[in-house]
Amino acid sequence: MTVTRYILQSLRHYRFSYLGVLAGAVLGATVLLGAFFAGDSVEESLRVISAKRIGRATHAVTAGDRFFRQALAAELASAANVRVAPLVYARGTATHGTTSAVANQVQLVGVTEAFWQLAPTPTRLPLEGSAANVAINDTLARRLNLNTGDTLIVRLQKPGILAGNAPVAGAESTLQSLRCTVTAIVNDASFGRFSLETTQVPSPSVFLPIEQLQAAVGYPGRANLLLIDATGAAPDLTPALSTTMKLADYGLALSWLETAGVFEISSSRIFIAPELAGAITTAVPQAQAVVSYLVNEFRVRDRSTPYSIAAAATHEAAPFLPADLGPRDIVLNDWLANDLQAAVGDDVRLTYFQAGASGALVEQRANFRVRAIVPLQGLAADRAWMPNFPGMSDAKTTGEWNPGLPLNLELIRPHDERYWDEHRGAPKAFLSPAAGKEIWSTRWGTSTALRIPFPRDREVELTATLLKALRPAMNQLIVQNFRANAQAAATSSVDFGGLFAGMSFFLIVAALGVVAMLFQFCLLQRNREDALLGAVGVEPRTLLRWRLGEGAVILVVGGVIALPLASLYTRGILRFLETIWAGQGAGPAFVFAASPTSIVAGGLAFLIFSLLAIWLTIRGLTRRTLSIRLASHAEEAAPTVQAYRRSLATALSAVAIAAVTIGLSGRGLPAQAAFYLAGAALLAAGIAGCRAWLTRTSNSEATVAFDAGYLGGRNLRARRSRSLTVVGLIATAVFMVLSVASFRKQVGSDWLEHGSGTGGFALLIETTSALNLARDGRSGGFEVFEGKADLGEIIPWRTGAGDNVNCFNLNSTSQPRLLAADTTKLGARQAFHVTMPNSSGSAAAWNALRTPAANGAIPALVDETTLMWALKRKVGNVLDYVDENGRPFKVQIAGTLSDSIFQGYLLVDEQRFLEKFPSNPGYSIFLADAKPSSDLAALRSKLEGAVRDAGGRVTLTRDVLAAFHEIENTYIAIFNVLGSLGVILGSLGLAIVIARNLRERRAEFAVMTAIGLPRAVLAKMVFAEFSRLVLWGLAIGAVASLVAIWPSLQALPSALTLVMVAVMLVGIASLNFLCGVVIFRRSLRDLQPSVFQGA
Amino acid sequence: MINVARVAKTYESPAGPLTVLRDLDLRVAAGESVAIVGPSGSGKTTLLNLLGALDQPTSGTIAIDGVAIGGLDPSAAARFRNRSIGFIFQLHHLIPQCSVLENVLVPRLAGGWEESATATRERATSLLEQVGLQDRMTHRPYQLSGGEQLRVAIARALINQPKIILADEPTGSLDPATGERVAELLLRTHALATVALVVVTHNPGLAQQMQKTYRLEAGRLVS
Repeated sequence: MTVTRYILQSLRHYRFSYLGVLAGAVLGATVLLGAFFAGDSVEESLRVISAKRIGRATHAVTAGDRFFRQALAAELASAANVRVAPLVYARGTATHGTTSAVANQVQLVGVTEAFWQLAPTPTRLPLEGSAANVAINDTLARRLNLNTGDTLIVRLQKPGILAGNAPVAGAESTLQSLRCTVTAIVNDASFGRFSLETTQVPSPSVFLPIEQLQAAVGYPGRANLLLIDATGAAPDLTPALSTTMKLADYGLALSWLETAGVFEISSSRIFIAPELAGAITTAVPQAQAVVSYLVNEFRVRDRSTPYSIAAAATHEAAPFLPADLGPRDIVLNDWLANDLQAAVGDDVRLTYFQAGASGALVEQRANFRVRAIVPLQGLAADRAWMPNFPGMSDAKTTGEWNPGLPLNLELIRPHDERYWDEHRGAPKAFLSPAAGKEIWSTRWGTSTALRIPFPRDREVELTATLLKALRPAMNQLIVQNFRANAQAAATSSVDFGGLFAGMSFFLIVAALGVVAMLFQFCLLQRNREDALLGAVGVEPRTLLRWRLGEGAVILVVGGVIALPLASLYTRGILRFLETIWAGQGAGPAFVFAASPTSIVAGGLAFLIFSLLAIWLTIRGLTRRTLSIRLASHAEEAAPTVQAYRRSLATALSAVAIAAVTIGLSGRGLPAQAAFYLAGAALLAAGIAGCRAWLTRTSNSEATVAFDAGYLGGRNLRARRSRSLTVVGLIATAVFMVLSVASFRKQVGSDWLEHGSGTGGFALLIETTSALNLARDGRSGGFEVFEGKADLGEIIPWRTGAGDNVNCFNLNSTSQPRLLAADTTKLGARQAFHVTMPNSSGSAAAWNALRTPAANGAIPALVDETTLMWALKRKVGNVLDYVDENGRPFKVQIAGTLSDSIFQGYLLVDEQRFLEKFPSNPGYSIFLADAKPSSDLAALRSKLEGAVRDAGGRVTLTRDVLAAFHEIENTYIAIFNVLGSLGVILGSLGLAIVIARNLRERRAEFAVMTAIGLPRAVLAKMVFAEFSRLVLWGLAIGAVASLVAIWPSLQALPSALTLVMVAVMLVGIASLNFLCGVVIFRRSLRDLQPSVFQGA
Repeated sequence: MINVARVAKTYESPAGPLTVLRDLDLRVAAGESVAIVGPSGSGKTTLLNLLGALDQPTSGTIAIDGVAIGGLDPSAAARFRNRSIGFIFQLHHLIPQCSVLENVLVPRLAGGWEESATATRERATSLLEQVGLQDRMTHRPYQLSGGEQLRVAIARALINQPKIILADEPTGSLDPATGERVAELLLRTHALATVALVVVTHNPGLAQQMQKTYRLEAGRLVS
């Protein structure tokens, strides 16, 4: 006979005894493997979703708010030997033509046939047949209940030439409305999930013929996004893009100015971006910067001239100007000098519009002295000085001017009109370049043209020189490694394997406890066998190894059985998780996956932990003195005074640790953490105290009445290991369930306090299109909010680069979306509860955001949940970003917001933000105060109507917080469900102990029955046993958890909490007592007095 | 062979220390058979446990074949038992999941035997033949009578070719006729194996067949 054969025979012989062990092993392995599989499944799901989101595209060329030639796609495809799809990408709203149901934040994608060839499963979807035919993805179809053939109304803001409130940039963007017919509903395989955003939540999308969207946004023949399949091509596409781009792709035009005899570079965006201007002047040093601007008024003394063009240029560009024109000098043409009756040396005051810090147009003034007066002729009368100001350049009369500025056209006099008729935008005055830069610089640029003296017949050479100097990123064309970025982000920011293992912790521990206890019971049956093996020379450690070998076989079998069960369990978890995103139009999203690594790691972890639990339980058995075991079945040796003292000392030490921990509350340890640790220490103290009670010597018991209760206590002590196991299981279960349940979050009644997570704002307004302050700046606010008397302060926010990494987004990213606002207002308001090292209070923290960090990084605040879970960073860490021209910059996390509505964002100062993103289109998030007496529901409804055209959504901030809390509460609910299963398992453990005790004592009961003791006495004795176990467990768990949740108890409505605690305790107690009663009745059902004879 | 000098054994109990053996001396020569008798609770089994290195004396020394077993650590004691002692228990302690033959082979599970597995198996078969169980080798313990189970236990006690056999009430659970046959077998086996035999028994007939008989009274042995 071999050891292996002996082990296998033992397993076969005791197979029924080991069934319980096997069942426990199956449960424990199922839960543990399920946790691992949950992690695998989330990762695999993200990977699959990511693959659907990007299709066959490997790269993307994004262009911010810039548009380039659609033909660039074909040229790049040819140059780099790649497949390229040109797109127009915008956002808008979609309305069901019949039901009027509206979806905001809808992706509007203008596509060609090339787009569908990059789908995960390449397809053909000809939309060009009719401009009114569009395809939608199934997310939008579900959300609006749309079918093919239905009418869909798409609305979007036609963007202006320049983003935001740029002066002289033309009229504000206008709402475009397209009435379309849904001809196809695109599924994931056909690119229905296409999105640039790193999120597993699908965006509602409308796919339109590119020409239709180009017309709607006012950029015919242009695109603003390229999707590229560069499989097999050179990994870096930037050089190919760079060599393919034309000046038009940089928004530039090169033209010959006949009068000036020079080339001029102008921008379709009026102002030439500083990056482009800098590169051009470096490549062509003779280039001269010119800035032309609309002056609202020239005034000399009491005479004024309205609405005129003025220009700032160098002597080289305008030789009629004095070579030494100073920064406070002005040169008038003779028309203006006559009109103002100005002479050389007179002071002239200029009034003009400029964008203020808040974005509103502000009328500015500047004073100059007349240096010279030049005749209105030749180059000085050249109309080409005026760039193509939208709304002005094409106007036949001044009455047709519509530059998007609050002009009072009634001030224009007949001779002004004549000037316009005869000279159009020929400047009436000229300034030095320094003066032009000082007063007319905008964040979009400082020059409206660059004049280059160059031989006319060498235009090709000049063009080549210019293109060589330019880089795509200078016009925001940035090649993104779309696939690599998507794959990198497709790893969950939350380790769901670890999360579920953590949430299942108690259930796993309970399962291991039950496994170990049942295994111990099985071995106790074989006490004499063990003793014999010891007697014949099998060493204790050898015997222990054999027993562990038996255990290992059972555990492996349990693990194998658990594999399919874990698969089912994980699928259940995934379906439950999907409910979190169900409200966002997402269908079933998670796929099941179990990696071999997880199977091996999960299986090994379970095996090791289980064997450890078994080893801890049975090592005492195999070490015990052989003679004792040979003599009896006694589970344990008689308790010793030392054991009692040790237990008591442990209990007292744990109490002391709890006291010290509470003492550290608020002095280095957060109160919640301190009390939780104290609770855990008290849990240990309670269990140790219980052990002390169980090991107490019997001297004192002589004075106790000899009754059923006394006997019950004696029985507990005789089997104190199993008694302690049960008490420990129940106490730990109560502690885990109650203490974790207390972490459920809810929006407090103080949600309108400035220091709360809402910043005290009642409403959050998100718009699809960016809004800006009213152009005239007179109202000081946003037109959409005007006339809303119930509204108080409004803080607008700009959104920038990065992804929203709130808890709804499972993907990992190191670039949370930047949100920028006026931190002065937030500081004055002391909004939110902000924690920042070395700053006292929220006001100081907000104000500190305006000063760049010592390393040059932009300081930022972040929600502490985002910091901990999504970013896994700390205050002081630096994150890397890229500005709108592709230049890297750093953002440093300077502080945190507690439990705020700004999960998923980094909050920065607006001015610091605009330095990096000057083209930012405006504000798309607004926090609004409501007057104290206002009806929030009515106000919300009114606001929704006001922002409807902008694709706006209005939410009460408490609902935003509640939605975030709901996620955390869902996880807590899962924890509670699993913890409750642990409680049930703990109760099962109690039931097993009771059943085992009763079974071992059937002879004893038989004797008692034989000598005439009634069943009630037996019941009382048994009840005394298990009621003490239950009460010990409940009491220890309840006290420990109440200490652990003490800080929360002070914050939560106490009645609710107390009811919750009471219900849980009563539930746990009832469950345990029920188990006890059932087992007692079943165990003694067929008990006969004669049993002792054969026992 | 066995030299016990001034051995005492005291147990701790909740009611205080309980001394079972005190200043006990015993000498057993090689091949000698000794019976130890005495009333229940007099410490006979305790003495047997001490002689078998199953337990440690509180004081005094026990030397077997020159080896002081009182100072052995648990592993060394186990090896010693495996090589030198054969146990026969009143309740036999057969392993229910093993066959008769396997029960005899159980001591070999401790490992470290120089003898080949085949040779041990042949000896086990031979021992079972000696005790008359050659036809029951594949049976399970529950298929045997009490006397047969005891005979398996005797075979098992001899499988390691011990220098001493310690038997605790070997006939205590048997009817007189079966007990007599088993006693005869035990003595015959003892004679064949030429080992020292220490038997704790209440059976006067069995005790008389031993070369020496000691009575355990008040924790001491008297002839």
